[in-house]
Amino acid sequence: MKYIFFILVCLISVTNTFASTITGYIFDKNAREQLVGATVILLPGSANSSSMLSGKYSLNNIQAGKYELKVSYLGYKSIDTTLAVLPNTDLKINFFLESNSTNLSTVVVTAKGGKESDGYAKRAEQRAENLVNIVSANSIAISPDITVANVMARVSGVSIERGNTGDGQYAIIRGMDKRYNTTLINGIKIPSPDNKNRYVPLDIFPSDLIERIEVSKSLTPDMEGDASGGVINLVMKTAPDEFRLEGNVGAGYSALFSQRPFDSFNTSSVNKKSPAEILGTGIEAAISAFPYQNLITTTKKSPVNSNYSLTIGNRFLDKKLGVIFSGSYQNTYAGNNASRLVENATLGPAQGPNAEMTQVFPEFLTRKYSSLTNRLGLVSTIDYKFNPNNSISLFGTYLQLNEDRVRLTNDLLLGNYSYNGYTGGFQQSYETQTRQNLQDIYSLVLHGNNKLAPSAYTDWSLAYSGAKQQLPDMAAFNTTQEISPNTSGTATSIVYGPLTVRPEKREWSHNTDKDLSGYLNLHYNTKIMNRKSLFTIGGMFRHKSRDNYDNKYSLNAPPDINSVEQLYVSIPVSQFKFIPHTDALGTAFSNAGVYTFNENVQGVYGQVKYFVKDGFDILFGLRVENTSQTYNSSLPATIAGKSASITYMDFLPSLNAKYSLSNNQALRLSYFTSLLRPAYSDLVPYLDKTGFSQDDFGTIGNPNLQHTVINNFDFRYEMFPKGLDQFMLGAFYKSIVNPIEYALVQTSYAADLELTPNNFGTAHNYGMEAVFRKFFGVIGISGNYTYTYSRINSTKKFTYIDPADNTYHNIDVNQPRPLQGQAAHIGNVSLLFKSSKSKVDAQLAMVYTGERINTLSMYKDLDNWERPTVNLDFSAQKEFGQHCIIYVKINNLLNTPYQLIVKQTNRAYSGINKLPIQDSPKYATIEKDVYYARYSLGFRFKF
Amino acid sequence: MKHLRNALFMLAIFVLASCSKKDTAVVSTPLLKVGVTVSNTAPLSGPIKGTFLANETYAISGDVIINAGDTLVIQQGVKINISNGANFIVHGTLLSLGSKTAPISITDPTKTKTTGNSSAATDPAYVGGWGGIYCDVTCPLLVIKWTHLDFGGAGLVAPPFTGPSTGDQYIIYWQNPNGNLILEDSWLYGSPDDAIRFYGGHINVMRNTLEKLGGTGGDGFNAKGGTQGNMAYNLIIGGATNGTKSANDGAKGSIQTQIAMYNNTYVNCGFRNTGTYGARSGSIEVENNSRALAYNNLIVDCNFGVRIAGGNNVTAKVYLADTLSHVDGPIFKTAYGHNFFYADNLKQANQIVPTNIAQAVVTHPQATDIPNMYAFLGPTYTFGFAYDGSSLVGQNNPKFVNYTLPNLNFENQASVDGFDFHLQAASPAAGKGTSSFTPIANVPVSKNFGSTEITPPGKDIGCYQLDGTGNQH
Repeated sequence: MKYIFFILVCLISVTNTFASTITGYIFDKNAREQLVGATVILLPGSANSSSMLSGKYSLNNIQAGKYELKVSYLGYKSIDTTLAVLPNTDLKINFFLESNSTNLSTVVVTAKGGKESDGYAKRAEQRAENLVNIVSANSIAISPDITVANVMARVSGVSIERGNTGDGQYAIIRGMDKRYNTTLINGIKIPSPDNKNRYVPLDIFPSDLIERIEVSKSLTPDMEGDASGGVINLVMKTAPDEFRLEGNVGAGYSALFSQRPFDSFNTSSVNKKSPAEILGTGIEAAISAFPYQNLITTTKKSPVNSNYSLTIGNRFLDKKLGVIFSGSYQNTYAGNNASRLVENATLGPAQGPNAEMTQVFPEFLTRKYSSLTNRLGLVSTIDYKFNPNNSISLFGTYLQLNEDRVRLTNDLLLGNYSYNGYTGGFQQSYETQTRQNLQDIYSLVLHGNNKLAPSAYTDWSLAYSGAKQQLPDMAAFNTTQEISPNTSGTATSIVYGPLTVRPEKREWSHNTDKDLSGYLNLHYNTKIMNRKSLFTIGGMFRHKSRDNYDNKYSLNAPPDINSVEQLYVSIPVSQFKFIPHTDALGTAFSNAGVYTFNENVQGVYGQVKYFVKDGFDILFGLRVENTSQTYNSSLPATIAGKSASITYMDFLPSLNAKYSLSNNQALRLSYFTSLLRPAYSDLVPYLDKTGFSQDDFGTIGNPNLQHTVINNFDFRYEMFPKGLDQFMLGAFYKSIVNPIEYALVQTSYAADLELTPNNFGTAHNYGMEAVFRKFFGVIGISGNYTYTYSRINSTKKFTYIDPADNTYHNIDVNQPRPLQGQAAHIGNVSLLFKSSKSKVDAQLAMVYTGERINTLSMYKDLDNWERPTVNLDFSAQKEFGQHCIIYVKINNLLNTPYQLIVKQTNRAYSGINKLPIQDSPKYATIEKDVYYARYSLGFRFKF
Repeated sequence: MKHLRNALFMLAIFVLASCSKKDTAVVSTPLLKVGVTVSNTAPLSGPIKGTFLANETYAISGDVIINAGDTLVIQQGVKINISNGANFIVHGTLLSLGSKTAPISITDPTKTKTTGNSSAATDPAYVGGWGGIYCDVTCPLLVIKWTHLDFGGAGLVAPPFTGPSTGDQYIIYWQNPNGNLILEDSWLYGSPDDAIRFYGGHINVMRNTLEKLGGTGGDGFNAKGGTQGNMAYNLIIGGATNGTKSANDGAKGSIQTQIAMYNNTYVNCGFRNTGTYGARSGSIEVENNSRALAYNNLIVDCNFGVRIAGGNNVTAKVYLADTLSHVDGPIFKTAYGHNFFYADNLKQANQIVPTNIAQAVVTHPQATDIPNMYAFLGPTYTFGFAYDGSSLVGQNNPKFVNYTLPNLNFENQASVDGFDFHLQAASPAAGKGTSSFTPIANVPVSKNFGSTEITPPGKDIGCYQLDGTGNQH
């Protein structure tokens, strides 16, 4: 493109030198907003400049003469013009670039532009009908994050739950637990590979495939009604307007593995199916069906992470056919060192009605996790525009996350009693656990837009998607030994007994989830009372089918002849036997974990967007969703809850209003009702002790659980002063009827405790959030802060001895608390450096997450809280030439630990009962996991 | 003639006087029969009710279920052969009414008892043949009298009702807090785990013989969550861990577990506990906020004496037994004494009064014990601390009728075999028992529907009394 646009010249002052300057701003023609990083080149000569964050550029020391001036910016039509420069003049010229985008197919936002830019994201936020936060691909690229989950931590009001590699996995939006949030790909809900939940682990998505992330915090009637915290919509890359080739090659390293080696195991001997699946249920398996080879671990020093991505796209056939293909592969070595005090399930009574019960710790675990994760992501879109009125697109995605994990546990049985002065453990146990976790998600979506009449158009989608998770032959080999202090009792004279073999555990589980869904929306533009009105009606259906399989085996270690124990020699020669012999059947036989689950959801809605006057529009309507669910498990028919069918219908009104105070200020108000469907595992009474770890409690579903209905109110003030600057202030209130939370309960007459979901009355959740971004030349600061307050009552057990008469009391008490996982304070601050001249971008990003409840205790005052965390990440990139970028990213600069505490007077802080990992007399630390920093270095190219 | 008349008169009076004394004849009473007779022509499985007729043999090939409200009576002399690891699933009432002369036998016929040394690795007693008697919350009454329960404890392949888990290996599982469980004059031989697991309820577990219970772990009678009653006059030999235990974990309400453990004889217990090292395997264990009485018990060659668990409030798997005084009973305060100990090696002798090994102990030495541990340890002794018991090794031989002490085979002799654990008249345990406490009487006393007899405390320490009362085996 080469044509002259227009030039604005004005002469302002005369200086003493003969050299002149040219300065000005570069704007988007439509949006009238500054463009950052546009290049200005003056020919002949070497003078050139890039626009800064404010959109300003400057060319200095220009000799008088005739020049050719070129202004260009990716995704925009270039400006090519000639001008004459007089001596000693300061020339002020502003340029207005026009986008060259021809793709008009996005539904949510109609603005044109480079859809991956920050500017686009901000404009989209400004124009959206509901409350949205948008993260652009540019933000993602310059941020220190390589997965979507980490990116999410920087969105206002979002906190992140991390997995055992330190990577974020799940988003908690405005204090609403992950179950209240849904994840969409290109607007279509996708099934989860998680064996328990509907929510999708966000670390499965490589950030390279993403065009932008939209987090909607309020719903409109055309959106599915089961998101109350928010909807995370991952918009994958779409076909560009002209040939595009982008790629990325990077390498990385985790500082953890300079502290200790990485552990790995041989995955080739992992049987994909359990013996019962191979032999048939009811046939006893032989010990030989459980090879020992996958329990043999080897170490590796300083492994190097790698990641690659490639995107290629173009338009053909007179720009009617667009094709893009994007692939990403990441190979990451990660892990952590975890320390944990095991919480005893049963506790002694408090010493009075006002005294506190004390959590006690019989064991201290130290664990070394080593995970090799392979992430593969493939995305492809083909779109075809028949004519301006009709277009169709086919979108396919395949995501795979495979993790090979070794967990080495050292379990010290604490005694810590004064045995003639000896304080320490009395038994040391060791566990080698190996597991493969193979997850994938695929989705195929056919989407169309058709104009039916001058003011009526439709869009529709048909989607088939699936998710799968397999944990084949999760295996754990255990040994133990006695520790004896001698009778004089000093720690220097302890004696270790011989190592003996303990029972071995093997487990196979897998689940699949398949969705078939269709969406149809009809839009009709008309005028009511001479005001623009947009009517939309639509409907959707989704048929979900899910199956779950779980089969556990316990292999007994028979004692040596004339002994009660089996001495440990090595893993290969350890002997195992099924005692009782029925253990060889596995547990699949009578396991509620073997189940099928079907769900049909139908939704219809009608909504009107009415422009009351200029700058004031409202969108309101009603959505109706009908849910019917059935499940059938392998539980014996003698146990209640073997199968169930559940139906309910919800009416979900909503109202969104936007009132513009001025060109760049607006008020938004929204009300909507939403629902939360219990997850499959919430309903099926499957006692799941996956991981057979002694520190975690089993979970069991509850078929009598009620679904949750939430009334949401939001109010937001927003201001977009200039350039990329923005400021938003919002408040929200949610009343949550029948919230679902997990609490420890005694489900049977046995003493064991299980985590089970329950409804907890009505919870009230309110708060405020603020977002700001401000640039000063090359430096920018952006941040957000969210305060959330919620209260819910939970029934807790409290046992005490009344000192008046020594009577024992075991009572239930009501204890108010915040929602699980909700932090009252969440804040992000990022310092940005963006020099268009040196082509350097840098970001220092800090995330603060306040304390929050991690796990509910069944006892009063003994919930497990996660300590506040401050995470600091750094990234920088430098562009070379037009096409190359070198980047460096450092995650977890502060080596922030994950810590869980119990808020009780810490009797383990000092003195004879002192325990490890304690750092306050005010609370007992029960878990401390350390991840260390991670570095990555790479280069990106763009054509 | 007059003399003759007088003589006849005197004779008549004498005869009359003689006749006024009661006969010692035992007159038969009708055997309890309910409902219809259960046929034994084919192996049983599924729901059943009615009566197993005396001295008949029955085969059970799959779980038999006694529905809520139904009763199954097993008359004396019945022999029940169970295959396929089948269980009794009891939602209703089960009465197994053997007699001394015609006991009942419930067994897995494929298994044979062995005598002599018992190895955890090879003895079939620890594997489980048939399953167990699983009593649901709706089971109001379980009565087992004069019944052999041999080779129980095959693992559950599926939970029969809400409560037990797949893989549970108990001979009796009980979870009705309002029901009555009577186990009297019976024999339990072999189990892989706890022989009986109680979660609440009223119990009388008396005058039984327990052999080879627990494979490499597991207690004899393990009472949790609010169970109350007696464990008395039992002979317990070769148990993996504890013979009798009380704990209050799993309690649903404010009712505490309270067990009177008296006049039991514990021999060779606590040597097959491999799961957890430390102090949880001996003879008597009282822990986790439960109350107990432990009197008149004879403890021979066991790993530990009477353990009253302590706790330091920070690092305990097991926490403090309830050692406080109460105004409510039946046990007003945990108490113990008049227990008799014999130890054949130093390790045992060092734990007659158990010390803090891995877990805290609050057992105080008692002056009424034999040996007098209060005198032995002296007034300055701190409970829980280690001491040197070497001078107690081999002391105070209780003088069994037929079991020679010292016997260094205590880790392997786990069954009664031909031995006789009655006391000789000259036993130092004779006459040393106390009757200063009251057993718990919370179950009905009835021939068929309750306890035969809640035997009061005995004069002699141990389960056999020189006057013939106590354990009748």
